Amino acid sequence: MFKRILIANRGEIAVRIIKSCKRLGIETCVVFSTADRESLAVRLADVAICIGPGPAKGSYLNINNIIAAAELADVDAIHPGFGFLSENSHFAQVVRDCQIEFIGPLSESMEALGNKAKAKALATKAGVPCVPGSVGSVKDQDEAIKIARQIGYPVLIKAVAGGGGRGMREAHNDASLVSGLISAQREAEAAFGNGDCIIEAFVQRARHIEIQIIGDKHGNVISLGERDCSTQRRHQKLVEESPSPVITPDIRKAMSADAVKLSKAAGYYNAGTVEFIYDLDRKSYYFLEMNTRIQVEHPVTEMVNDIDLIALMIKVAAGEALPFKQEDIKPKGHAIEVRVNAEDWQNNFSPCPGKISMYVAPSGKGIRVDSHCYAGYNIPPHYDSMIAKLIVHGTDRADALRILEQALSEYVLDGVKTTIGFHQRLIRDPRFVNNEVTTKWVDDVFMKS
Amino acid sequence: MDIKVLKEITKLMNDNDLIEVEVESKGLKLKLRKAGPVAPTVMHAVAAPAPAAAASTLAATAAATKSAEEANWKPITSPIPGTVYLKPNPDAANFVSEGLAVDPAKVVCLIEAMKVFNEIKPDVGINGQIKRICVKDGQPVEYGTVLFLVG
Repeated sequence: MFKRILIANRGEIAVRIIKSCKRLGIETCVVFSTADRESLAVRLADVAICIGPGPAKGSYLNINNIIAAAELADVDAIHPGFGFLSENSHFAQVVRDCQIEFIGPLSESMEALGNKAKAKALATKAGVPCVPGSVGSVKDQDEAIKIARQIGYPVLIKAVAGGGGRGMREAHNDASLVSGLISAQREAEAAFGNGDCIIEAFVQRARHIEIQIIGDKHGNVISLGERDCSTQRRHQKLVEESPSPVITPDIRKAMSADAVKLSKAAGYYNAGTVEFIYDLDRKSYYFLEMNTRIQVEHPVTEMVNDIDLIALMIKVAAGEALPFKQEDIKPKGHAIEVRVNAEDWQNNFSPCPGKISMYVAPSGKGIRVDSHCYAGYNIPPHYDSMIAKLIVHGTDRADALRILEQALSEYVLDGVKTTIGFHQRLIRDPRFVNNEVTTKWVDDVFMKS
Repeated sequence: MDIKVLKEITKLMNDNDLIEVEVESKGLKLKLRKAGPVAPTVMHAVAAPAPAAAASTLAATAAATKSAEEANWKPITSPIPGTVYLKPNPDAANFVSEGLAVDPAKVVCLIEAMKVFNEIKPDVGINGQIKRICVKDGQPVEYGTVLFLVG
């Protein structure tokens, strides 16, 4: 097992990783930017090393300085968390070249799955159903129009390197396809350095359902069940739950099997998430993409399976075999996570950095809060607006929703505007309670009512 | 954290039956405490806030107690985490001493990071005499640690 791990991340996930390391008796070294000197992660880690200025480019994305810190602290592994360098195959390779273990998959697996066009080709080859559309990226506007007419409008234009909703456009006719393609290409070129786009059929009434997998270095890959993340705003997840309230046991089983199949085809090990889109009208699912890292919403899976995914990641990275088999995985009850963002949800969800004057997190049976906040904490303006995740676990969905409603009402977070109020309104909406939500519902219906 | 230094301190503690040791130098505060009678030494190292310009919030309070002259001193800070060396090799003299005039062309120290010795020079606009050497030879530093003050 590792003696000391460096955490190349910040905020809530850095704190989360430190906690699992402590449970495993592993020393922690956290790297931080000058904007995060007063952060909880810096306070909790055994060693903390400043690696750069506030803007992430000079710090959390600065591979040289992170490796220099890893050498200084003499660590034997690096956990990348999510965001920042977590899906950067070059970083993973540099880390391994320095004889430090990267807690994640092989660079080769990351490359095969990180690009949407390549991942789709791999999935098709492995027999995993994909959304009808272009094979590989489209060459030009003429080809795009040809494919769109073939599969029928509406279509979705997606940047192959995209993520978080960027480089994505809907098109309902030839004209909007051409203009959408140009703007998606431009946006993706600027954000990801790669403007290539694919074209897919646009599923109108969709649920976003993903499968958490974990693999070890001995060829074992298992599914830890699904998360339903259909409550989204502009392709950003707001609420995640497990089990999905809309799929049948047969679909669940087939999705899990396909996720494992794809992971094995990519020679994948460590934690990963295979995302699917579920078509409510056709009652069928299609592979969307695979995230080759731990995800924000991993606690949902931890709650229903009573496991520590971060600890598992560390163990399999150290070469241990998975401690359980597929048939041992029997999720219990229902878990729901809501993301608390420092955003003014009544004002177009605009970010609200600033000082938290008062902070009391809810607690009690079935309630978990993953956060790096404290009273007096100054939320820096340089990073993501997510400041906490509230996760509840109940015997069934109705029970979980009751616990969630209570927990949200007990959450005290003053000084900045947050999305707590949004979630309170959302979970009382009968359409949310009755599972009538699609991935477009928050944008098209809820925010307009 | 330089493990060699830690090992030496730990040995010193064991040899002298010390339970707790606290070491403090600029930019670093280190506290070593033996846990139980059989448990190994517990390490807890906290990087103290960078003293000067890196933490601009400190500058205002510091200025009040400093002379007008000191307040105008400019810092040379570390651009990377690593180990600082004040001399080109163990037998040589220091790159700079207090009172020596420096400019952006002058190498003032080396910082070893990733097996590479990085030559550190004052930023453009920093011209003057070395007023204070803020680090010790062989000391671990992080991004923003103040190495020298120039006035």
